[in-house]
Amino acid sequence: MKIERNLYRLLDVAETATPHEIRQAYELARRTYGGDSLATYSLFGAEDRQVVMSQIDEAYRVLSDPERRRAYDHMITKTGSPSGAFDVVDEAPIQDAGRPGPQSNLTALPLETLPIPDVITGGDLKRFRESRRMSLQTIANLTRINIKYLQYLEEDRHDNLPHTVFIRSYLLQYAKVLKLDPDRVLNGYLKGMSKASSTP
Amino acid sequence: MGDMPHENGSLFEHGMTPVREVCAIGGGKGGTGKTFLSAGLGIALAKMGKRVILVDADLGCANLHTALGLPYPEETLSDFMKEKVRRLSDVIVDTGIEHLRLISGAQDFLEIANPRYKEKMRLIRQVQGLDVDYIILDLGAGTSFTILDFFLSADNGLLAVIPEPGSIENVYRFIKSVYFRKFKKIARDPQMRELITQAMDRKNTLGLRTPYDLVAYIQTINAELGRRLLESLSTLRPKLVVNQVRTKDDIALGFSMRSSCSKYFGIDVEYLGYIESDDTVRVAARRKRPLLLDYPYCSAARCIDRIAQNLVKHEQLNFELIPKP
Repeated sequence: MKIERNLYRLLDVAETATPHEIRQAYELARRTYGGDSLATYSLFGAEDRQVVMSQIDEAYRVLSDPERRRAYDHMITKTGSPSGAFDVVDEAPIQDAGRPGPQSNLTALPLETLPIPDVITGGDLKRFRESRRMSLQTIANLTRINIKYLQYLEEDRHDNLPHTVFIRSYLLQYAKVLKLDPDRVLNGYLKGMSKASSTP
Repeated sequence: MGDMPHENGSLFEHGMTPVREVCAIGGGKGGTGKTFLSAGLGIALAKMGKRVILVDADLGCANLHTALGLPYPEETLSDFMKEKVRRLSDVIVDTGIEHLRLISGAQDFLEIANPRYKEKMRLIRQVQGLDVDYIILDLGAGTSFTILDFFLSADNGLLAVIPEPGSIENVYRFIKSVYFRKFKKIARDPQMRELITQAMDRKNTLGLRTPYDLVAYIQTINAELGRRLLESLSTLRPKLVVNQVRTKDDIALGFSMRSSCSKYFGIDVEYLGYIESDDTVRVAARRKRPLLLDYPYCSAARCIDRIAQNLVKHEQLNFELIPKP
């Protein structure tokens, strides 16, 4: 799935959109990806929709707040617009991660080479990330997840994390960026979380 | 149009001016209003003073003439396909509507529905050489290679969809087929073609869940091909027309589909407009009369006028234009 980083494009509005238009677009986007929309049921699974929903929420959180929006506008004009449609792909650092050259046998190419244990801790996440030679900042850039939350994930500071719905979506995106099996990472980490909460 | 052979200059000999825009109208499922939209747009554009030729490219099941209130013409595409006439312009007939002419489809024999590649390209080339402002190709239902190639050859690919699950699924399937047809034309490497075939299977073992994932994946293993595929995606901009809308939610469907296509396929779909559900459409159809001539002020006709204006101005629908509930 295309991970759209530009918040305006995420909500399908122009950068000049009024607060009212942003609100309208947000409501429409929530209807599109939440529940039983005719437009999405045949394309996206529940997980994908959840990921998109959390991105949409994040986009609205920033763009509906005049101050945050100003800061965001400032950032994209200063750093050059991240709205280029495919810059996520351009930056995807998987080529560095020991991917074989173009001549390799495609069908034999494993997407995931790291063994993932049944129960995963934040330390495991960090280990996966480092073995892919990616910084926390890169993941934050690619997924648009607040770097603070990524840090909490890796440090197992579960109390500082938002609602489980978001944690799920963060983990799925985290796993996708690292080209790990999203389901295994998600379930493993959730197991780790419930283990930690049951042992005082 | 990418790898189609061009006859440099020869298309436009004898002072012919190149055609402005070719629009192809598809959408997978039958009964979504492709022929109705083709006839309507043709008349709407002609009323705006544009010179228009409607081409009934629903090979085998042609009935665009009926939508215009005409009997089946003497000269049809069949004469051209069977090479009874040399030039496509020899089978153009008048419609009785100023600025609007018709190339009627072949109804007679089956092979025409699946022409050979060479015949198909001859037709596409000559369509593009017609001397008018707009050419509207009414494609048939389905996703045959012929239909996909016509769609890809057009400047504007329009998709007619109605707010029903079956129609929406088919439009997505149509886009997916167009998408992969285009990819396969670009990817010459057999290994890559094999990969594309595999990725088309929803349950592929590569973990590629969307067509966009495929492009991202190809980028990592063949940067040059990945770049070319991305480039080709930016030129694929199908335009949605939502037909038979009854509610505000039906109208919003176009925006939702636009957003979904961007995330799933990584392409920009435009929302050209919607047509309100209107009993007048059925009345006109029964009388075998064109809606836009006999009932130009009914709501459906006005919707089609608006779509024609968007097409001419290269604009699409905006949020603000959704009527308040």
